[in-house]
Amino acid sequence: MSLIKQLWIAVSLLMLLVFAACVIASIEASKHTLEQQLQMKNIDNATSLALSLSQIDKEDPVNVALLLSAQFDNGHYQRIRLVDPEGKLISEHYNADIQPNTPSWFNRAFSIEVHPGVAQVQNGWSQYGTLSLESDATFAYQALWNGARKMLLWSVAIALLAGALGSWLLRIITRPLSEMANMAEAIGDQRFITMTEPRVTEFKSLAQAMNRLSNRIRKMLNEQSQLLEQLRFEANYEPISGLMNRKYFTSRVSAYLDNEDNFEEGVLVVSHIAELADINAKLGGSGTDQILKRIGHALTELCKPENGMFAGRLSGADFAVFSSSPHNRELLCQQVKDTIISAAALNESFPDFSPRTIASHIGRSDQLDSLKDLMAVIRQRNDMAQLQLEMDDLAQQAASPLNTTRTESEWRARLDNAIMSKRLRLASFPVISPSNTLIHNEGPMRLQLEPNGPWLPAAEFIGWAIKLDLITEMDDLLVQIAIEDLKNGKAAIGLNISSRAVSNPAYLDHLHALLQANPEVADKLWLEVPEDGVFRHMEAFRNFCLTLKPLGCRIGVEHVGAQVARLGELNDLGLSYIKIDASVIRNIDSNTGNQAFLKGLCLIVHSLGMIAIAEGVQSNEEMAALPDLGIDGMTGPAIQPPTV
Amino acid sequence: MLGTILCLLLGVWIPGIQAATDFNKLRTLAEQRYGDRAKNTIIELEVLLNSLRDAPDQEKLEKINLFVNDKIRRFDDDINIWGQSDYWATPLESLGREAGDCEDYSIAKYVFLRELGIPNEKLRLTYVRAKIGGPNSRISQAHMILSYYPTPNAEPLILDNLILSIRPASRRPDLVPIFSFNSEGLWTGTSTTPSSDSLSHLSRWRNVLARMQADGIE
Repeated sequence: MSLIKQLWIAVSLLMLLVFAACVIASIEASKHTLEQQLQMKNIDNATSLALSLSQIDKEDPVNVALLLSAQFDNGHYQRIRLVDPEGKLISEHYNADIQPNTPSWFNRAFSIEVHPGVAQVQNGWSQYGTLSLESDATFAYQALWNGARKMLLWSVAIALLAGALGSWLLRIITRPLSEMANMAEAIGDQRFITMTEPRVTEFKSLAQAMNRLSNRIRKMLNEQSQLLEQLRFEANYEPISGLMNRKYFTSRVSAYLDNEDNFEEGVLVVSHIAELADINAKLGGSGTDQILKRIGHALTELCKPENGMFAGRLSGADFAVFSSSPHNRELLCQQVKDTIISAAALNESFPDFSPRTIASHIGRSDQLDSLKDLMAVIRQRNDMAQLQLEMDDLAQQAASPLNTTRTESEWRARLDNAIMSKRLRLASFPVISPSNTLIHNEGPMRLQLEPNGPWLPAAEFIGWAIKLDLITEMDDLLVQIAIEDLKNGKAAIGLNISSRAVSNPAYLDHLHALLQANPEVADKLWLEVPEDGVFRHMEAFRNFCLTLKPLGCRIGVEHVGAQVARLGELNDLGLSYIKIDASVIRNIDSNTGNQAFLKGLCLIVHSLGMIAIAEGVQSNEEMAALPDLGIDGMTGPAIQPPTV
Repeated sequence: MLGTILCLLLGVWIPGIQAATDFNKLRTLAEQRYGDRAKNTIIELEVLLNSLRDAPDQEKLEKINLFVNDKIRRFDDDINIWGQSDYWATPLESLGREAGDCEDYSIAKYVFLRELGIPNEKLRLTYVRAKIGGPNSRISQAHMILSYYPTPNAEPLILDNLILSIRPASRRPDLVPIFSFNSEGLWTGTSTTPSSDSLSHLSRWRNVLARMQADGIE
């Protein structure tokens, strides 16, 4: 039972007691007053009647009888009785019909006890008799009864008023308490929120202590994330230029190549600074380092505006830039070249400085070996024209004919048709725990452009869907399909939510309504948002979590890796899981730097109450190494659904 | 002393038996309020009452009548004694001041006779019209006397402070009875306290009885 309810009951009981005591005391007091008044009336009336009787001529008994009758008939008496000095009755008047019209239990409980008034009647010097007189007490009972009823009514009215006022006050006083209970619950769920300090002293110190706890944990998490970031940098970046090292660059690129849902075709640019040895000889080690640093900075800046574009230093003199979206190859190549030239600023000492730069389209069908080819070619050929020709040959293989074969109107007709006839479904890739149980099935979108045609991965049509503004409808449809699947008894589904969908209020409403209508499947729905989407739309994501979390579904972040330093910001959202980007997982069994990083990352993820899932697990060696690093779940080409 | 205690005990335990006067209290109060003379008067009273406990009624009446008429030396109006137009004094006040008006004499006699065990039914405080200077006088005055009825239907004996000797009513043609009363019906049941609680609500008669109790006269 809640504290407020208990306090309410206690207060109500006390009030009832107080009011009952008040009513009874008041009735008793009134009764006492009435008794006194009746007593006085009895005595006074007996005395005055006796006085009158003493004065009249009592030879004729009629005189006495008349006087007594007159008094009795015109007054309010129960009994008037006259006895002679020897105790013999002279006259008695008695009203037997007096029945108080108040309830008999009330009369019994509060019986009015009044003694008769007694006075002596003289006849000259001799005694004539003793007069005793009792008044009619009906009016007293009536007055008492009316008073009691009125008192009870008022008591009830005041009690109700006091009850209303009391519960209002109680609610105000205990409001911080429920806030603190919420906070304690949140901390129990490893959501480290803080609350505004209440004004009540006892609550205040408690709230302060809880806030301090939250803040300390948050600070600790932030420090840990920073440390992790450093670890990540050391393992994956080249210290002089600040660019990705070769290992990391290639695993990032290959993670894209393996990701059929988000990647269709990209551009790879490689640039070779043949003069590096000469520059080093002329300007010395530190001078060269300065130039490399500038180049690294400039390339990073170049990549920053575009999501999915990054740069690396492949070896001493080789730089590379990768863009995951289909770019103008020549333009990007020229941009990279110009950026390096202007960053190097070698006009004076090397006026002819020009890095050899080539660009190639690179598609999903390509193997990373093409990178090696590129590097081999760039080192050997001095003739740039020849180089470019060979490049084009290489690129030929990567060119994807699909996108350009249909016109806009054809796309619109086909996509509309697919949505109308619901030719959408969820693919299924298992996410399993190290103990080989299913955590959920990742369900990326698949679509049939034509009836009975091939099921296409998202990357092949998503660009057109966005361009034609059909993506919202597809998102909505996808959630419906997922919920239908779950209702039909399918195992838990991990649904990708694009950052575009996260910041779309209409989509959020739709999702909320659907989950509310199907509460039984909510806990089997895992909603995951990509890392860059989360941190680019932090407010929208926060709102997304606060709206959907209470309905019972799980929310997580996928492709985590590049922005671990900001992981601490997620501490109060109550997230359930993190999926770690394939670029971190690639060759984890041999990459000691990333092992340390992953270990630290899992530690933080666990201390935030989440589980850590590895994406893109490709080999059995990776699979074997991951559990020891703290990974709770794995997905990727090497992962098979658990055999029951 | 033993008798007093016994009486007190009996008074508490057996209904109907007259409770005794607390002479110690009475004496102390008399000394405190009025001095040694008053104290001596109370001692005399105690001796007198004790000597009369077993005497016949006639002797009780005479001795008490004599004592009260003797000790309340000044017969005066209340306004001169108490500064109020009609003040009913307790026996202690009357004996202490050695002054009183008619009802003060009557009250004192009534109380002492009751103390000696004369039942309530036999005693009446009676308002009378007194003709000053004899039965044929034209000047009359409101007066109060104590009547004693040996039997309910008998002619009463009159204890007065105008004519000091006790006479039957028939020998007091100067007095015309108007109304009489005693404390019957005032004390409820066996209780010895008036059934009303506040002095301000009491009639004069009940008021003086209550103050008497406070003085130690039961």
